[in-house]
This record gives sequence, C-alpha cells and structure tokens, in this order.
Amino acid sequence: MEIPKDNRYLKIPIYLLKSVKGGLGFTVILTFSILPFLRSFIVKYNPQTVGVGLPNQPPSYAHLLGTTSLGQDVFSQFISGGLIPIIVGILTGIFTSFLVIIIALPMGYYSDKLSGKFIALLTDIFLVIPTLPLIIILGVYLGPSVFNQVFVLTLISWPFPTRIVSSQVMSLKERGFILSAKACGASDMKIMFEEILPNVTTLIISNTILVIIFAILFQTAISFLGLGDPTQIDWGNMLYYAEQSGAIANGEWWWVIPPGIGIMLLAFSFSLLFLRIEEIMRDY
Amino acid sequence: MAFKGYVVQRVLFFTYSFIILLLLNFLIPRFMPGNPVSRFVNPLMSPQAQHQILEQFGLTKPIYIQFILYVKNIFTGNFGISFLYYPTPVIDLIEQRLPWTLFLTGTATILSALIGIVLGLIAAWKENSKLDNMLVFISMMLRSIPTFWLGLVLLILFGVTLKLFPTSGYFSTSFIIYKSNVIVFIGNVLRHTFLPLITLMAYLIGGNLLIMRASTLSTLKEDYVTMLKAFGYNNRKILYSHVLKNASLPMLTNIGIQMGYIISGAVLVEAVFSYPGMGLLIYQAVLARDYPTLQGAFFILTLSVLIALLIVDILYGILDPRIRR
Repeated sequence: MEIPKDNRYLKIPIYLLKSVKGGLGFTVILTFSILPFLRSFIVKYNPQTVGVGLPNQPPSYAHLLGTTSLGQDVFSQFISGGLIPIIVGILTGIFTSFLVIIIALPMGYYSDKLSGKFIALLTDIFLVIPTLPLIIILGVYLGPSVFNQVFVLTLISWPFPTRIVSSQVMSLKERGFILSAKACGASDMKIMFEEILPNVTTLIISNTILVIIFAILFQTAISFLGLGDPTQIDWGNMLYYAEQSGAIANGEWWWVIPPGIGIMLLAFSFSLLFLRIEEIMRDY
Repeated sequence: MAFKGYVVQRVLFFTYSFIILLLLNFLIPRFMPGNPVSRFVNPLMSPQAQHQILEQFGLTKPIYIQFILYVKNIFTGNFGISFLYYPTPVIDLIEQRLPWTLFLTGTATILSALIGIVLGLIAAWKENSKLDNMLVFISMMLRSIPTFWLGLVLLILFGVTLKLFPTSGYFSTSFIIYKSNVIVFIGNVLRHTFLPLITLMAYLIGGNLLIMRASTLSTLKEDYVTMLKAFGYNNRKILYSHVLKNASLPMLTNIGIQMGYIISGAVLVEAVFSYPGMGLLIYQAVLARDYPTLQGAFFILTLSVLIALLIVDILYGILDPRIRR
C-alpha cells in the first residue's frame, strides 16, 4: 500500500494497460469517445436531423436501430451519445480530485485541531444530504448546459473521496518520515504537499475513477429528467425524449434499450479500471 | 464510549445538518443567477398580485429579516403555493405524496438489506468458488445499470409487452368509483408497487452484497472463528450463530450511508413508473419549473433522510455492545 516517494505512480498507466481488465476497460472507453467523430463514416444520417426515415419504425437495414418519433436515426444517436457522459465524467473527476486535495489534506493533517474537526463535520453533513434532489434543484436554477452539469456534479461528489483520503492522511501523519520532516523544521504546507500528497496519489486516482462512474450515472440521470443540454444528443436525453413521446407505452424497445446498454458498458469499463488500480495498489 | 454520550453526539450531528439544510434551502434560490422573483411568484400573474405575494413572503425586506421569516415559515409548514397545482399549498401536496415514498423506500431498504446479508454471507463462505464469482459479477453489473433505465426496460417488458403489471400509479382508479374490500385493495397496491420496488432494490442489493461479503471475509479471519473451528463446531452453526451477527453490524452503518442514495433512486424510479410519491412530484415540478414545490419537496425529503439516519444511528448504538455498555 505504501508507495515510496519516487514517481512510481507515474507508471500506473503502464501497469493499467498491461492487464486484461485495464485493457478491456480502456478500449471500451476509447471506442465510445472516438465513435462520435467517426460517425459520418459509419452512418449516413445526422443524429439530430428530423425525418430521415418514417417515425417510430422498428430496426431495419436502412435504420439499424429503428427511428424515433420524429423520424431520427436511433443508431446514429446511439454512437454519438457517449461523448457527453465521458466528457462530463472525466472533467468532474479532475475537478473533484483538485477539491479533494485542497480539502482532504488539511482536514486529515489538522484532524486534532478545531479547524480540521470543523471541515470533517461539514464533509459528513454533505455526505448525508440526498444527492439527486440537490443536483436537481441546483440544475433547475442554473439551467441546462454541459458546463453546469460538470459544475453541479463537482459540487456534489467531493465529500465521499475526501473522507477516504483524509483518513489515510490521518494515519500517515503519525509515520516516522513525517515526524522526522517535522523535526527538520519543514513547514506544514511543505509536509502536506511534498511528503503526504505523493503517498496518497494512488488513492486519489482510484477514488477519481469512482467519482467518474458516479458522475456518468448521474449525468445520464439528470439528462433523463430533462436537465441536459437540449442542443446535444446524449444517452440520457435520448431516454428523456423517448419517455416524453410515449415510446414506453408503445413498447418501442429499439429506442430505449441501446442508450442504457451504452451507459452500462461505460460504467462497467470504469469499474474494471478501478479494480485494476486496486490490484496495482496492493501488488506494487 | 457510553451510550448516553453517543446519543448526544448523534443528536448534535442531526442539529448541525438541519441548520446546514435550512441555510442551503434559503441561499440556493436567492443567490443563483437568473431572475429570483420568478421563483417565488407565478410570472403569469398581474404585477400587483406579484408584488402582493412578494410582500407576503417578505421578499422586499432586507436579507436577515427574510431569513427570520423563512425560518418561521418552515416551522409553520408554509412552503408557499404550487405553480403547477395552483392554488394548492405545497405542504398539502407533500402530505399526500410523502407516505407513498416512505413506503416504497422503506420496503426496498429492508428487503434489499436482508437479501444482501444472506447472499453476501454465502458468497464469503464459498470465497472464490463459481457461485462467489458469479454473485460478485452480478452485483457489479447491477451497480453499473442506471436505475431509471432498468425501470424503463422492466416497464416495457412486464407492463407493456407481457401486461403482467400495471404501468403507473399506486392503485387502480376503479377503486375510487367501486368501493371494494380491503384485502383486494392491498393486493392491488402491492401489484402496483412491485415493479418500482424491484427496480429500486436491484441497485441496493448489489452494494449490500459486496459490503456484507467483505465484512464476513474479515470476520472469518478473527481468532474466535478459528477457535470455534478447532473445537469442532459445525460450519453451519459457526456461520449462522456467530459470524452472521458480527458481520451484519457494518451493514447497519451502510444503510445509514445509503439513505441519500435510496432517495435519489426513488426520485428516478417514481418518475419512470408515475408512482405518485415525492419523486414524481419533484419530476413534475422540474418539468413545470414549479420552484416553490421543488424547494418544499427538497427540504422535506432531506429532512426525512436526516431523521432516518438519526434512527439508524441510535439503533446501531443499541445493537453494538461496545457502545451500549
């Protein structure tokens, strides 16, 4: 678990890809990120164009996954729909890990002082406030856009990883190398960012992946509730339009099933990456 | 830690959380970009009526007086008037909807905890067997499935195509017209609740199984289990009368942590199945931009989670002998 202070964690990507789990997860994620850009080579229909076929048609050779109630091509929408969840997920992951570093290091390091206890209390409170209602209420006030989704999801996702990282910091600060750094007169800042941070980097990375999974699932959920960017196609708002136009009551499975499979594959691939990182943390 | 001190600590935490909730609910509509007036007043009303309502809510007064009025309104249950169901007060809507959500989430929590405990125990006992690998794989899959999508698929499959279950509501409307006996009515409610319940439980069971499995695995490594084995107790007895009790304790903490998740799941599931609880109310309020209802529903839902958490925490204190002492 304890990784020495050299830059060994930079080798994580190599260890990650040199395994079935990591390789498979990475391939699926890469595929869904590239597909939208290769769309024009695969399907001749634009996902947004209305009336490229008859409305509500089941799958056929012309439309591999049928058409929507507006006669849009579902297959074209499906291969374009993964990009926004991936972008929102990864950006939320990056911003959240910055927040986690800023909050968790002082929270763990000053855990005996009043300031540390106060941050810990706030974190615990935000941990128990139900996530989706808060996301919805912020989303409604901010208005639908990809940027706002990232902003709201970042505001919501920091407490859980912060708790985990700060408890690791709490145990690290009693170790010998920190105590000797203190004895040498290193400042608190220097100890936190130069001695402790490198030792929790792997933990932060693995938690970032959990945040990405969380963000992808919630991004699709809020888009499904009609709080997504209406100018872009993503898997969540595909399901929103399906629900709104009565596709469920008509049993139009070809419109409803593909987006969900996409979300599942994406979330599962990130879970595989997470499992692999856990293995790396244990073995190296 | 003494039990009394523990309870005091949990009640204090509840109080702090409640204060943060009060602040959040007050600050969010006032400090978000956009037109704050439209959030309190129906923009379709005449300017005089708008001004009257603004004054009634004290929104023309300085911010600290607004806060005092706001707290007073909260404690008297005055959440304003719904735009969507004008002129029904928000609190009336919440009163109708909350019991159904509590019924749905409560049942889902308890059932999925029991199933998670049993399956997790079995998986850990047969660690690395085919059964164990399969259970872990299924749990991970269940946790990757978006709840609302699973709901949509079950709805199409069992509701629309096979017509086994009703597709919306919590009882058939015919009951309002033809009074029937209670048993038939309960059966009807259960049939309406079945699909939403299964959908909500799918996600929870996955998480519970993994946590119970991890907790059982670490309990099995304890010295007393080795000793019982050495004394020749049979495996089944060790598992059910010793390991089960100790390994289930973390599950209770987990239920507390899950609470927010369960509510999030319920909002989506209710929206999908048109199950008329708080979640559907929030969904309708989002689509209609009904801000007073949204605020009121958010406040009451969060408050319910905080109260449930307090109950779980105190229950934990009663069950864990290290605290009870």
